[in-house]
Amino acid sequence: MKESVLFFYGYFVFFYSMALLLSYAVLIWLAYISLTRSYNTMMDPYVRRIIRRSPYTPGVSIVAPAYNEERTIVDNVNSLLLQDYPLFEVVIVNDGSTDKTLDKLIENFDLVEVPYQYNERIPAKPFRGLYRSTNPKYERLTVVDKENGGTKADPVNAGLNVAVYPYFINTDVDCILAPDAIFKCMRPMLEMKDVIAVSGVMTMSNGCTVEDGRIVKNRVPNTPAPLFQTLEYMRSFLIGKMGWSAINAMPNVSGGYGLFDRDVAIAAGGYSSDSLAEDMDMLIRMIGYCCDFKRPYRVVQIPDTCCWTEGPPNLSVLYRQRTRWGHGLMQTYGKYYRMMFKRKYRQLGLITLPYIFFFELLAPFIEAVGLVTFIYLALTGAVNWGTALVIFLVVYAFCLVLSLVVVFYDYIHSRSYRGFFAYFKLIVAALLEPFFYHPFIVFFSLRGYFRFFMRQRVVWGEMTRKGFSNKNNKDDDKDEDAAPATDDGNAYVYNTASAADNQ
Amino acid sequence: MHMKSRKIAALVGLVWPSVLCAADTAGHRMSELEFSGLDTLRYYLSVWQNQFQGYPWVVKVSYTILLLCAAGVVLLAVLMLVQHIRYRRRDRFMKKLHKKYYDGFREVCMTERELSESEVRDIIDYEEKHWKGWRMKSLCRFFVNVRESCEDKLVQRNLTTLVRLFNLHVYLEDKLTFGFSSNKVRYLQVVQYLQILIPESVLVRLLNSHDANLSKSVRIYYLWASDYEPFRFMRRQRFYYYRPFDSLEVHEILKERHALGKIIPSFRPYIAVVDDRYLKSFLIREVASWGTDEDVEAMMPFFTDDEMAYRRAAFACMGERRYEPAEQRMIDSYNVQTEPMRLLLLETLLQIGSGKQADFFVRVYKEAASRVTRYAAIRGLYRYSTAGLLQFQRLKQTAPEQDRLLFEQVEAFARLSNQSPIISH
Repeated sequence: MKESVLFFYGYFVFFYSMALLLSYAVLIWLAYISLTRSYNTMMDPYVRRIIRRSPYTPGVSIVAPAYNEERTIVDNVNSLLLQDYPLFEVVIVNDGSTDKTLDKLIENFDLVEVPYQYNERIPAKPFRGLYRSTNPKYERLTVVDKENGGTKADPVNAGLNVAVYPYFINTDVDCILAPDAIFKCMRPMLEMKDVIAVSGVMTMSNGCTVEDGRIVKNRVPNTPAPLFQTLEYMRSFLIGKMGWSAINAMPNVSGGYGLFDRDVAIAAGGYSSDSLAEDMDMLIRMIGYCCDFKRPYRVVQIPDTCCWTEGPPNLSVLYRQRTRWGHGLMQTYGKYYRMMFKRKYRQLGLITLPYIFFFELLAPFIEAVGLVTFIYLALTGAVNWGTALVIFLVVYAFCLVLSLVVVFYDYIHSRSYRGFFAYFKLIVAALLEPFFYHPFIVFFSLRGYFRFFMRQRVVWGEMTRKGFSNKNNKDDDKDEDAAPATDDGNAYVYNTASAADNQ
Repeated sequence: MHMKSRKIAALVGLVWPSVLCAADTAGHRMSELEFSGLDTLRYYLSVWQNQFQGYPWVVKVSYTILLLCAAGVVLLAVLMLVQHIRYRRRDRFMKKLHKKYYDGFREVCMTERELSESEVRDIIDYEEKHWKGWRMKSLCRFFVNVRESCEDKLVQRNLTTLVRLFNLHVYLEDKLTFGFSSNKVRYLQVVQYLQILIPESVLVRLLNSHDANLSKSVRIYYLWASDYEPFRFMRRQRFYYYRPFDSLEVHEILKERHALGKIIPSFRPYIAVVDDRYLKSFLIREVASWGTDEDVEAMMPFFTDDEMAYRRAAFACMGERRYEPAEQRMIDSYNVQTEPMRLLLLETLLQIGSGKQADFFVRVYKEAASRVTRYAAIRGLYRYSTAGLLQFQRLKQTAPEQDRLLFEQVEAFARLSNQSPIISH
């Protein structure tokens, strides 16, 4: 009996692994097609010139929630205001901050509270006030003050209620956007039909040189956790999402940076306040709305880096982030499992959701059980070490090839990093990742699943944030490295990608 | 993917199974046949086949994948090296061009008077070179960069002289004739961006290309280039699909035509026959910029069209044109409009700004059930005229409690520098 179980389990894991490898190979090919298509689109200066001058250019609202960001809020808002796009506004939503976030905004941007008839198209926590600047230099800035909503979704919904333009970008206030981020994301909106969401590439700002709210030197991080995350993000965007985008089967648009059609987002009910993977939840609902009303839609991933974000600098912060992602992924499937295998929901129902279920959600379980089984077999002397070595080498070699492909795609498309040494660091990270990073990610994901099943209350900890400059922190005597998270139900961190980014 | 690449991929897909079959029989035949050239291949295939004889097929499959991965790593390394060499070569050439010609090009492009070819040669210190292939592509990119840097100060005639001096027009004609069709859209845009005239003989074969994007791009090129009938090919597009960028692009092209003194025909015949809803509403709105008063008058029946997009476009047309005669007809249609259309109608009246309809704004405020509409009405009243402002103050004094905030909001936004909130529809 035991032999039969082990026999079938062994072959199951083998076929599962081969299917996963094959799917990645297909994604690599699809990503290549997407990349090639992106070269064959219109000429950049030509498009830029037209967008800059045309009266038909649609406006974009940048909606960024802020909670206890007094260290970095001024720099971050200045960075958002530097966008090179003719028609946009920046809506900062102060989500009941307990520090001086709002005061810093008022002081630095000459804000005054204005009477405002707040129309709640999407439910959110009570609105307190709206602030606009008396300085023409900051005429694009709007600050919304509201009660704390507990999650990122609530302030974004409040921002959507106030936004005036037909498209909006959802980003975190600590993210640094490329100066032409809006332009890059608006291109697919304008050049293709029926686009409801566009995702840009996000990368780590750890290690980069930042001046006046702009990245002046893009560098690969030197510390291990951000370095591995950089490689992970590159794989997720340049292979995973680019591949899915080729067949219009995108699983999510990252919550750290994404451009959306505002009317479709509002019609779909806005962001869900109770979801921990609100970005994936939102996109599924937008696509579900389009499918339910037989409306064509397209979700596009562009290969250009639009946003830099400060990633978790160490394991303890990474643990909180990935646990939350795991929990969020389970939550999302708990809500939308009925869409799986339904033709009505097109690629989302037939391809994306089943794929993520089998190869993302179940993967940590299978890996953990496989590891335990392997240890048991090793201890009982039942392992054929030659065969085991070959199979291990296959998986390791394929993972290495995957990382090399992504380095290659980055190099041919955008050459994000200058100099051979940067890419060399990424290749070294690819060699070490299966041993030093991946096991932690599996464990953190399982922890998140466990919390979901145990219905544990989720705690969003304080994000250890170094900030990019200390110009506005003259009277701040605290150590730059903030204390680790406490179990304070009101404290939370806005974070960037969600579980489905982890391809 | 290019057609050629697809054919090669299909050929490999057909040949590969037969290679696999050959591998199976290679081992058997080795002992019987005399050694020949093909047997070399059979030998290596049998080595692979026999390497793990006795091992489970799982190991064989794994080993194959391992070999493929190893080959993949080697291939990627080679490709990256090749790309690196190409980029470095290109970057060096671009730096060289930049160092030698950038300042000279800018000087030529921004000189107000028309320069002769010999003057241009002297300014840029021209050296006769016959570049080909990737160098010409880099030169093309260089021209685009210079054009972008000059932007509104550019003198087109001098840029055209530079283009002819370096034979860039010959290169672009060649690419449009013999290049990959996937790149031709970009080359057409380079042509438009640099305002180079390409012979019709080159473009006519692209008009009915199977690539809908390319076919449309050529038609848009004719919009710009044609002297007398810019829309002659727009009606016969088989695969036409409208996308939002078309509005932006066509409007800019028509603006350039207008700046060059070229004829812009009436849109009315096209509006009558066009099926695409978005294109039609775009053309209705464009009448404001390029149509006569008669053309604008002819757009008024769209105020009560069944299609909301046409109503929206018609209102936008009147607003942009500031066409006063349309006011009464718009007011007459107010009661049959949906709430978003009513907001747009009010905004249009404000844009027209004749100063004669203040009473209408008051009436709207008093009758509107929606708070958003009431806000739009008093905002319009505040910004409309002096009489409107007086009406605003009068209404404010008698406004019910729930509307006080609306009045305060209007005043607050108006007090802020350069402020008026746009009504979101």
